[in-house]
Amino acid sequence: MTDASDDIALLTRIARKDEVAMRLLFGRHHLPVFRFLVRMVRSEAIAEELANEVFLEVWRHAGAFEQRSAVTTWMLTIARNRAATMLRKRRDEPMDDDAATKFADDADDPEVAAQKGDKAAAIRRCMEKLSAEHREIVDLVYYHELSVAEVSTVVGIPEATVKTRMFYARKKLSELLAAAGVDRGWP
Amino acid sequence: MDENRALSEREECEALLAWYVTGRLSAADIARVDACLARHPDMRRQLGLIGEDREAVVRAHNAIVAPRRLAADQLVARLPKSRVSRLAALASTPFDLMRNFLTAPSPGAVRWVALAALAIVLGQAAVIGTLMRSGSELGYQTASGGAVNKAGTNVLVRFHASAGMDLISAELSKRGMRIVDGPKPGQLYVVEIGPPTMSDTERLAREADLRGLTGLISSVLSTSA
Repeated sequence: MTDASDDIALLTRIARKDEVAMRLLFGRHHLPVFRFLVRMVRSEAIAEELANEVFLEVWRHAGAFEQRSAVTTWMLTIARNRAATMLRKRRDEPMDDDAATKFADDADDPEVAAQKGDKAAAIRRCMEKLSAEHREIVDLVYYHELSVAEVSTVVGIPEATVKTRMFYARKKLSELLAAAGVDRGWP
Repeated sequence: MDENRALSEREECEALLAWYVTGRLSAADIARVDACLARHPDMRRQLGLIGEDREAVVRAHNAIVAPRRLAADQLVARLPKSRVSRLAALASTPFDLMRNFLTAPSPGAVRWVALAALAIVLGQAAVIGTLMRSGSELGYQTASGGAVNKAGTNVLVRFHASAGMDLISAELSKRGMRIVDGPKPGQLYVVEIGPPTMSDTERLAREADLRGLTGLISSVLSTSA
């Protein structure tokens, strides 16, 4: 069940308050939405609660979905808005030590990883050093496989800015890797 | 890093390479990137770098596991309930029509409500009386431990992940069957395959019929002893 048309069919049933369709949609999209939220808010407990809120909003507003975007894009947009609201509220609260430790990769620092020849680990570590904006766009393109237009919808920025941000995110990653001793020959 | 700065022609091509790799470019943009790669062969090396970056991102996501709790059950328990039930949404039997009539009363309809309510109460009394006499048992325990009311004869079905919802619904509907619950742990769905009074022979035939849908269904588990 991977077609966008299946998602539309499920949303039509959800608009009629069909709980089985809701379970099917949940089964298909919960994990990607949850992962997107974990990467944004850096807390699995908060991400789980926010993911539930996303699906509750889908339940309430399925009838208003206008099919101008894919269901995935719509859900990620809701998820991003929810996470952004939560992050604004928590902006002044420092991340607790446990949470900070949890999201610090167990792998070596980029420099150490690079010295060991573990390029993949160095890339992963440098990815985590990207700004939230850059990490977000990289996640949406590489993991969620959204198009330029879809990223534009989710993040709420013009398509030209999506391309520019992706360009700079890749450039920044290469710079971080170069600083860690991994020269990729670009830019 | 001024995001408002217009990228050069080469830079924009380099930006598009990410979508070129994920296959999310329009035909026109693919042609544009192909032309860029032909003009700047050194740019092709970036495709490999993007592949490495993408793998790192996918690995980072895959390291985030789903919550262990039965999140779907929790969510469904939190859904605001409306007057339209799942059954009313799925079918249009005389029972459903009556339900809709009752749940949307108009001044003219109010007179009918009392009559309809009376008919339902009498009907329920007759059914309960019959069941008490026959002493039949209702329901069964699913693998997840949840009791399911036996409105019909049910089986547990696991669909292929790639099976389309439209096709599943069409095939089940063609056979007079439908999904009534799920997914249960193990991605199992409860499918009603017929009335509760179905003979063993007929039940086995219907289960076999379902097993024949090998393109859609990976397993069918009988819920009868």
